[in-house]
Amino acid sequence: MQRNTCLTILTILGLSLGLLSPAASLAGAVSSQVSNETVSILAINSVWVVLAGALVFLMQAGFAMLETGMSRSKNAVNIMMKNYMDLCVGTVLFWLVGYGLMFGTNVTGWIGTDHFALGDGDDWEFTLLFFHIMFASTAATIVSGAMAERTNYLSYLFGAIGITAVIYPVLGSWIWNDHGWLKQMGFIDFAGSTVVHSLGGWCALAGVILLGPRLGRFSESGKVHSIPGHNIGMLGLGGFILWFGWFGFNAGSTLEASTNIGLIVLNTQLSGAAGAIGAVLISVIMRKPILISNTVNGSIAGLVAITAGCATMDVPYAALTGFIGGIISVLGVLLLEKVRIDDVVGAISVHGFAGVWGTLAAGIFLKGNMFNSDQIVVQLIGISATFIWVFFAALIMYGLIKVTFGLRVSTMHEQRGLDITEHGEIAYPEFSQNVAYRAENLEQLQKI
Amino acid sequence: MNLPLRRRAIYTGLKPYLNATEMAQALSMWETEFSLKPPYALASFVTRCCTTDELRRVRTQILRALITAIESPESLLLSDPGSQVGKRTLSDEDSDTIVLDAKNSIFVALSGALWNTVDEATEKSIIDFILRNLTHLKLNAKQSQKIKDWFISRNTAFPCNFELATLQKLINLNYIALCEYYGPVKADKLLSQATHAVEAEAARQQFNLHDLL
Repeated sequence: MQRNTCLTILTILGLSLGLLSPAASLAGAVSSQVSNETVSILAINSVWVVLAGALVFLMQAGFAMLETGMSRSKNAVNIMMKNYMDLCVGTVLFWLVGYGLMFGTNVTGWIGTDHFALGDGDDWEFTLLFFHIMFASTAATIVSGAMAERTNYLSYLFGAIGITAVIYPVLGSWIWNDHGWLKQMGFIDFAGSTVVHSLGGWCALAGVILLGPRLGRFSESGKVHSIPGHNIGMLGLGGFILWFGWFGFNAGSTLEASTNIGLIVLNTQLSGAAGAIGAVLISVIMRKPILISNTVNGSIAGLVAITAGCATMDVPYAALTGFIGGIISVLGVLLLEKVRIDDVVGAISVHGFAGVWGTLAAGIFLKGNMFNSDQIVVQLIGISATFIWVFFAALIMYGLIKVTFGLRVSTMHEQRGLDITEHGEIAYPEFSQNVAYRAENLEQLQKI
Repeated sequence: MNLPLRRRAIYTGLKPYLNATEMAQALSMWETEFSLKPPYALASFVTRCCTTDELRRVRTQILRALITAIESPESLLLSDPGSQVGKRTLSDEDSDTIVLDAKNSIFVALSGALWNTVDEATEKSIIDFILRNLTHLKLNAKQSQKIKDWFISRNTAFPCNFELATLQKLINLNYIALCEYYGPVKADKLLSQATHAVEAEAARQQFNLHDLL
């Protein structure tokens, strides 16, 4: 019965994701075998998890667009390059080191000890590795938006290596490895509100504290200068793409083509929508302008918040979780501005703060066991342990990078923009007439 | 306020209006006849300094400049020219004779264009910001003093030819100050406007303007 249900789901999925033609063909091929009853459950699960992994891959494009749209045009190439390359270095490093630390044999409950640079293994293991590479890259890329517009490119990539090779997998081994100490305690984080999103938020917090704000963001006299993004359309589209990818992120975390995928994607959708509504409402109540950046961030905060409990929460509570997540994202941005922390895209608030709320909500609204204080305490322990490990490990890592390679670019780099100084390119050469640095000036500029 | 500090204030106030000979005579007169008198005596001091019709026409401005200089913090005052009693001319060997090369003259034009885009009060704040941060450029003491004096009294001649790297850093310091007071978005716009304003002059002098940026 369950097998037939799985195959039906897969068939529908294959048809509805017609755009992903290779995957759809594969799904179609598998569904044609239903009548022959030769396809194993493992194959079906593999197809689902690989498809979901591909959707998570698309989130990289969402992050890249959203972050680029929220930055100034003179740093657009740099943001794109950071998102592109943290995926690449993250992929290789997670395969080499991270996967072993996270899912290798975990005797102590703290760290995996084998499966490094996986070359031999069964087919399912390769599927899992592919899926988790996408998660590791997502964790790393969250940081890029917060640290945008003033970070040395190579130093940023070193940070991405540290996150995907050590910080993320160690935390993952505590929570997602079957023998991890937090998993053993019963900590709930189904798809990674804490493992992926809070981790990204806390790494970003450590990074921006060491970096300092962008030139002129906070003046000596106490004035706050807003630095609007250069492409609102890109920001909005980035939000849509991220949301689309989130269906794979959450529903793929079942790691099987199971029947609860419908609940998971419904919870995900409702929470994202409620997050945006929460952000808009709190803006109205506080008599602030209803910014698209806050609205998109609100929906993402809703998605982040439901990620931990999307499989273990009833639908109305998923909506409530997302709604509160959206409110938190707006308040978090204001709080950080007050304490003069310059987070370009609001990543700390959206991923860090909303991730904490979502993880707590997963314990509070646990289906069949709501408001259980024991579960809530376990969630709080997991949230605290995550902050202590991730924030301080990232602080040490970025601190070391700062004293060795240098974390921040010079003020001259900030004046020219990182597109020119880090990459020798201009994002919009045909549309840059009213700027100090045009494409034809590139060759005349002295190296700094 | 001790005598050298008051002399610096008088020198700072008079600098934009008097040449070296007039300055030496004025400072000598101030030191011997006015330095111990109360501030309201400045009016008669200025009257006696204005020995030509040209100076008499700007008498009120000179008086206002002197009062502003006396009220300014020490960091905004030119360096002490020393006692000028008995001297015929101010011993400022560089300022009147220096011939600026292309990069330095374009730097002066670009700086002027940047300041032209801001109001007077902000310009004063920007200059103050630059003076406070000049030490970060690690110039030698003499260069540092000269450039500081020029920033304080901007419509005087540029004091000497600086290296390109120093000029770059000074423009960058200007940009940082603009970011501080206007925010980075407007700072980018003002830098762009200033760059366009001096482009033609740079081309005429066959100097690549972007060497300064």
